[in-house]
Amino acid sequence: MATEEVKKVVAKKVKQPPRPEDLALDVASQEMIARSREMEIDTIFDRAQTMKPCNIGAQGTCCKNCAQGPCRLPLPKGGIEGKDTRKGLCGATAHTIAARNFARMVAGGAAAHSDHGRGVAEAFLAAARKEVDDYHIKDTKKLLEIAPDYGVDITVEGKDGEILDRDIDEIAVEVGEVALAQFGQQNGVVCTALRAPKPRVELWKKLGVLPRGIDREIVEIMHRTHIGVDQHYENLVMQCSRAAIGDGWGGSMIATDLQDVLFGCPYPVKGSANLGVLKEDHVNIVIHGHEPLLSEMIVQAADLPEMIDLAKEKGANGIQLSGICCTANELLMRHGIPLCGDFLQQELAIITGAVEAMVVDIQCIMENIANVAECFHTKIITTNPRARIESGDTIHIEFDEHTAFEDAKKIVKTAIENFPNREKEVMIPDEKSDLIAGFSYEAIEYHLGGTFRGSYYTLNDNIINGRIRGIGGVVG
Amino acid sequence: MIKNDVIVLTTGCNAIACAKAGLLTPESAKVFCGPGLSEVCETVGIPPVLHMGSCVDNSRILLAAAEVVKAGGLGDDISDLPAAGSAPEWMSEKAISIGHYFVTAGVYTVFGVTMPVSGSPIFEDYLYNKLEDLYGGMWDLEVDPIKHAHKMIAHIDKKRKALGIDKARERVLMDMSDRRELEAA
Repeated sequence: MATEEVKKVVAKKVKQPPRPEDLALDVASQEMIARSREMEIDTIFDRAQTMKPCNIGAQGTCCKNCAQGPCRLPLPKGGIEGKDTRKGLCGATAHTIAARNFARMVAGGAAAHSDHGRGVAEAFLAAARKEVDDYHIKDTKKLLEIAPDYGVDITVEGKDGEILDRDIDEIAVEVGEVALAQFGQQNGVVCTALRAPKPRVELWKKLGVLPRGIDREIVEIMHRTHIGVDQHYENLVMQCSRAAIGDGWGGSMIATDLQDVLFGCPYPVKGSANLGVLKEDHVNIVIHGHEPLLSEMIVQAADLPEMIDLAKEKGANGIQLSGICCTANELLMRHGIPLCGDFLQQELAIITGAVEAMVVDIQCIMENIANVAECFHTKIITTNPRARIESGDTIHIEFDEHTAFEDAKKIVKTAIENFPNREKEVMIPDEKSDLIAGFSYEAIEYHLGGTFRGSYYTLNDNIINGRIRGIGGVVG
Repeated sequence: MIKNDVIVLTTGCNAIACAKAGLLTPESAKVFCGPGLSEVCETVGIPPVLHMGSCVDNSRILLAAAEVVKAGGLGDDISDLPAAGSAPEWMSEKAISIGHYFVTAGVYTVFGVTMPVSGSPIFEDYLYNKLEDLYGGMWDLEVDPIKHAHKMIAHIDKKRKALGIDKARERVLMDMSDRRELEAA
């Protein structure tokens, strides 16, 4: 009897891992989670079971901004009645600490988007100045549309007072210079923020949250959240606003603008999504990360007859490019290249055993892909000097905008040459969904009204008459 | 959302999730949408969920919102629009920055999963309520996906009411005799 009871207790304690279908809604992911368990490869889905988040960190009230702490101010169960008297060693209240932590998240996010934007601006300027061979000003229509927002004239007065078009290269160089200057600007206003509706700009001015320079606002968050600086949560949030506006209406917006001019403004394209886009008889190159600078070159390199011939020589029927995360979205929007998966599927893609190379640039790249890749022939190729991986056995082929196409060719070749090394049984889920993407704001305008009367009027009209109830922006 | 006739603009990993769920096809409008949105999607030939790009392309959503304001009839500012933002499965610091630039643009923005501010009720209240007085937009947290969507719809309805377009207008099909009557009047 006694032993039986013990057994019962033990049985209760040994927790069965949750079933794959309880971990993901998506069938392809479920299949690959099951596969990962068969192969005893741990993924984020397993680690999420064993890693218990820190309760105080989750509440935003752990402060480690100096070495006197870390000071931990958890909210007591049942809340606080009366005055909240919790304090860190320096006296920082729970709201000061939560606001500081929140602010540093804003700074991290704004920095990620904006440093991406800066990279694009640098490549754009190099292309405009014709210092690089591989990037060109492609979408001149968009360039002319955005130039006035950067304070760049698109026309010039001739000798007899007639209005003449300015040279497109001159416009491009000036737009590039102004764009790049927004990052390091010290005073004034980030020019693209003025695209917001007038009452909004006036409100921002009144509240003192118009960003002066993109970098400056991020640096100021880091300063204000240092020990003993800004100790008023409302004032901290004000600086968050400045930095965040500098991101959305600055760094991110500049990235989008200039990427469109360099690579073409997206218009609706057909594509497909999910792990089923991988092809068993092809060299699979999965591009993962966030920038289109390198991936645009890889698209061109993978299309070269010499590369396709090489792939055939190695026994494949061709080269299949696909993407994960936002690099994938960039390629889908402009070329219809299929989406292999989202953030949570990066390890699962490798577990198919069909990926010759996963090429990564920046952001949202899990360090563990390097460990998973070690169980297969897959090569992880890091390409950006900002983002190296110590785990596993990765290859670094640094991408430089001056040698962009050559770098891309090297990467594609490395992947193709890896095809004969496929060892284990390949398992690619069948699931993939068709889709239409590429709805830039210009494309929506066109779709709503055609060439002659393209405008958002139709959308507004349908909102007013109630056929459309409203607009939801769903992101993340 | 789309069942309730709310057109959705999406980016980033959420766009990939919507793609996998088959929501990025025009055909999905008939299956999943309410009658109004379904009709518009069918007429124009667009999916009910529009994929606008990567996460830096959230700037496209801001510009679309500014353009809707400019097109007229829905107020003077982004905060007047019957619109709401959401990051149902956010995880990165980038999402916090995005959330905050949506809020400061005047958008009610709901996050899912968790928000690392729950340890300070005062700060939480500032983000979720008081910011509305300053910007017309504010943060919120709702873990349950259905409630999450309904909070957004409730905000959209609040804005429709403020604009005086909360009552659905009946569409009257007019024949020639109606027209003659109108002209006579």
